[in-house]
This record gives sequence, structure tokens and C-alpha cells, in this order.
Amino acid sequence: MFHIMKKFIQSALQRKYLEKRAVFIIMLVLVLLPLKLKGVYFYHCMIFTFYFAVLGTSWNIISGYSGAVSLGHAAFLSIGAYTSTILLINFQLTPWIGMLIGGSLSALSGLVICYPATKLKGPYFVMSTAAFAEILRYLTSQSKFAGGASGLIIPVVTGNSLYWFQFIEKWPFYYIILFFTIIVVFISYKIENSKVGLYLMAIRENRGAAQMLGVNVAKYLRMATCLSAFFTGIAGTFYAQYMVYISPDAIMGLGESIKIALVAIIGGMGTFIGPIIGAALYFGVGEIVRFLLGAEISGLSSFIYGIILIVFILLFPKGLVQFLKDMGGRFERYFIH
Amino acid sequence: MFFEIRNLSKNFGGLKAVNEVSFSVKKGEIVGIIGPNGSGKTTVFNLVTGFHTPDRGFVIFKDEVISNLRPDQICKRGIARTFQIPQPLPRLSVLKNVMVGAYSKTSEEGEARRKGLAVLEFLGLLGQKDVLAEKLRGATMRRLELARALATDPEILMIDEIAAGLNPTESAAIVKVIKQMREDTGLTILIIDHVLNVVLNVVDRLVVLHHGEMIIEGLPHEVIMDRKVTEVYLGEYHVGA
Repeated sequence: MFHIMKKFIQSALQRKYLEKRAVFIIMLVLVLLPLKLKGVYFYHCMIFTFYFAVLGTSWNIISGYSGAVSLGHAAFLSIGAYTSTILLINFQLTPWIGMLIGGSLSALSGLVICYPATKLKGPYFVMSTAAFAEILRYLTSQSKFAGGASGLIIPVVTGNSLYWFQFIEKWPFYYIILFFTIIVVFISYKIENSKVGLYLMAIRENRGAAQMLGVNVAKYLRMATCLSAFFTGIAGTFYAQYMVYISPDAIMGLGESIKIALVAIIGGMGTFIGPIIGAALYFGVGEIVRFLLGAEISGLSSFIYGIILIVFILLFPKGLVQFLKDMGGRFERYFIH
Repeated sequence: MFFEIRNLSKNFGGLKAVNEVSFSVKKGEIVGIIGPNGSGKTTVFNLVTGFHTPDRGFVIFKDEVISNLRPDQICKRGIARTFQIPQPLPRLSVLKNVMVGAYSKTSEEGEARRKGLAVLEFLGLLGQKDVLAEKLRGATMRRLELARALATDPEILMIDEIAAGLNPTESAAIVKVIKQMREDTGLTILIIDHVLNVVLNVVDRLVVLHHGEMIIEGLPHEVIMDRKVTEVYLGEYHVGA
């Protein structure tokens, strides 16, 4: 009997089958979940969890895999959001096309910042990306065309409209952001298991050795930055359409970039599943704390939330995914072998 | 000429690290570059492989001047190297370390994996293919350096102090591997070491550097008997005595 159970557990722990089965089950649950659980608050939580999962996964493509940590992703987010919004307001262009234009402009700006930035290493690269985000926030807040510090309000149409990307209920937004999440995570998974992913990881581990093994460091960093910026820009359009309001304070600047980075760091940088788990933790814990302490002393929930994040990062410095992998390895060694 | 260094020079501030060094290498030769610490051996390697740009002079490989190319471009043209202090990709497995090199010549994952496994088998590292590179030590780490370089399918392999930190048994094993590589593949090898015993067992020709300048090149038994070489290694006192 014990022998049969051991064989079963060994088979279940075979990584490729475990991952594929787990992914399939999770996707099925997420698609069917709105049939069981309803309510505006439920949808809002899930939508923002997926939104952060898209942001974290996009960030991970450049910063997690290649180690070139960016604190400028709020810039890409806002370029996407403002581009589609300005095109919508001024030219009545559907946000679906505005999203692609916004994503492309984000990718282009990623390329521009990448050229000088990839000659910098370590903290200097981080600082240059942070400076880029802050400069863009300042310029936007001074720009009348972009609504200045007051931001822009998306014109609201009556009823549901696929063309205007506006819906009365939240479930269409749920499925749209779920779709985006699946796409971005799938692409991230493919990158991780490809030559591109291996090259990015080689750059992260040892740039000089990577070069000597034939890796064109600048080319692959530019490629990853553009892809990362594109998806972040797409998420920016989604945010604009969901919130129907954007402003420099809402989605720009260093604070927003840090949030995006935290999602991947908490879950596990350099793994495709880390940002998903990180998004669930980051947003989930924040909502729980706000729910429990929101009515107490003003700002207490944010304070407690910050403490929880710090403790979490101290306990799991490599992210939760790596911690679970290490525990899984020990479980395998102690109980199976 | 297959490979040639012509009047290669490099200064770091006021220090002449390499000064007017010239020599050539035939296809299939093993050439040793020796000299005391600080004589410019590794700087020559860095100049050839694109980590430094020469101030003067040229590096010519198969009739192409490669002096101003990037390291990855030089790798793709068929020159690979190991590092004096091993430079693993620490949090990647041994196999993945080698596959990075294999991908320089193919984009197919299956082919890169096959090449990687073949190289690991040749170097006796197949049993450790899933071990993280950071867990390797000593001779095994040196073998990984060699494996990664070989995986790029080079025409010239530049080996920098491969026996540093190894005991005599391990050094002998590595020298045997180098000889096997030349026999099996006809690889052209440049090898740096400041320990003569390691180099003399394997090279066809020697080049001796001192204070960044080439003082002699020739057959091993002629070079080591040369007075200038003896002075460099033992000092004028011992030569005069």
C-alpha cells in the first residue's frame, strides 16, 4: 500500500505534469468563478489582482529575467493610458486600437530609454529608469494637453459598448483582464523556456561571461524592455477604461513603479508564476487589512500593510515561489527518496 | 595566416600593460603564452576577445581584423575563452551554462541541448548536469569553464590559467583533456599559464611575455633554455651565479 502511495506521489510531483495540470485547473476555476461568486466588490478585487498580475509579469520580463531592475514602469503604464485616452477624447478612436498604439509608444519609449540605460549597471540603471518616470510625471502634470495635475476623465457612454470599451457591469472587465493575464503569462512562460529567456538569465548571472558565450547583451535587453513596456502600456489602457479617470498622481511616478516591482519581488522574480502569486498576495493582503482596519485610525491600514510587506520580504527574500520550490525539494528528499 | 596579433598595445593610464606584441598561430597549433604575474598575458587575451580595445595594433583572424569587435561577435566568429577566475552563471544549472554557449551556433533548443550534453559527457560532467553552477568547486568548475567554451564550437580556444588552484593530479587530468581536445577536433589552442610544468607538457610553441613585451617565441625546449627567460623566472642573481 505504501509503495502504491509513494508511486502516486512521485508521479504527481513530476514537475511538467504538475505544472500543466495546475495551470489548467486554475484557469478553469477563474473562468467559471463569476458564475458562483458575484458582487461588485468581488469583481473589483479580482480585476485588480489580474491587473497587477499583468503589470508584475510584464516587469518580470526585463527585470526578473535579466536582472536589470526598472523603477520606470509607471512611465510605460501612463504612456499607454494617456495615449489611448487622448486619442479617444480628441479623435473618438476606439480604445482597442488606442491600446495597441499606446502599447507601441510605450515600447518605443522603452527602446529610447534602453539605449543609454543599458550601458549602466546595477543601481545606475535603476536610477536612470526612476528618473525617466519622475520626469514624465512632472511633464504630464504641467501639460494642459494631458489635463495637467487634474488628469483626464474618460467620456462615459450610456449602456454597454464594446467599441468604447465601456460596460455597466464589471464581469466584462473581469474576462478582458483575465484574457490579458493569460496572454502575458503565456508569453512570459514561453520566454522563460526559450533561448531568449536563457540569454536574459545569463545576462543577469554574469554579463561578461554571457558576452563571451555569444550573447549580444544590448540587443536582448532592448528586446525585453520593448516587450515589457508594450504589455505594461496595454495594462495602462485597461486601467484608464476601467477607472474612467487618469491623473499623474494615480498612475505615474516612482510610487507606482515600486508597486509594480513589488508584485514580482514578493511572488518571485525571474519565475513566470511569481508575479501572479505576488499580485494575489499584494492586492489580497492590502484589501484584507483595509477591510479589518479601514475604519480605525486614518492611515493605520496603510501603515500595517507596509509592515506586513517588509516582514514578508525579510522572511522570503527570494520570493514566495522560490521558498515553496525549496520546501518542495526538501519534501521530495525527505519523504520520497 | 590563420591567427595573428600584430603590434598589439594597450595602456591603462600610465601603465603599458601590453606593448607592441606580435606573434602568429597556425591552424591546429597549441601555443603557450607564459610570463610572470603582471606580464600582460591576460590583457592580451582580453584584447583578442574584445573585452578591451587595443590602443594600437591589430588582431587578425582568418584574414579579418577583429580588434574592434564586441566579445559576442568574436565568439560567433569562432574564438572562445575561459577566464582566469572562473565566471560561471551561478544560479543556472551546469547544462544550462553550457547551452548558453551552444545557442551561439544554433537557435534550436533540441540541438543546443544535444550539443550541451555531448560536451558535458566529453568533460566528465554529465552526472552533474542539473547541479547549480555555484555549487561546483575546483577542478569541476574549471571543467565547466572548458565545457562552456567548447559548446560555442570554436576554431580557437583560449585557456587562461586552467590549472590555477588545482593539485598536481587535477592539473594533469586537465592537461590530458586539453590534449584530447586537440586530437579529437584539431582545435587551435592558446594557453596561458605561469606554471611551466603545465604548459610544457602540451604546447607546440611558446611565447614569453615580460612587463607587457614579448621577449622570445619558439620551440619549448629552446625557449626555456634561453637566458632571458631564465632571468625573468629566476632573476639575474640566479642566472649570473
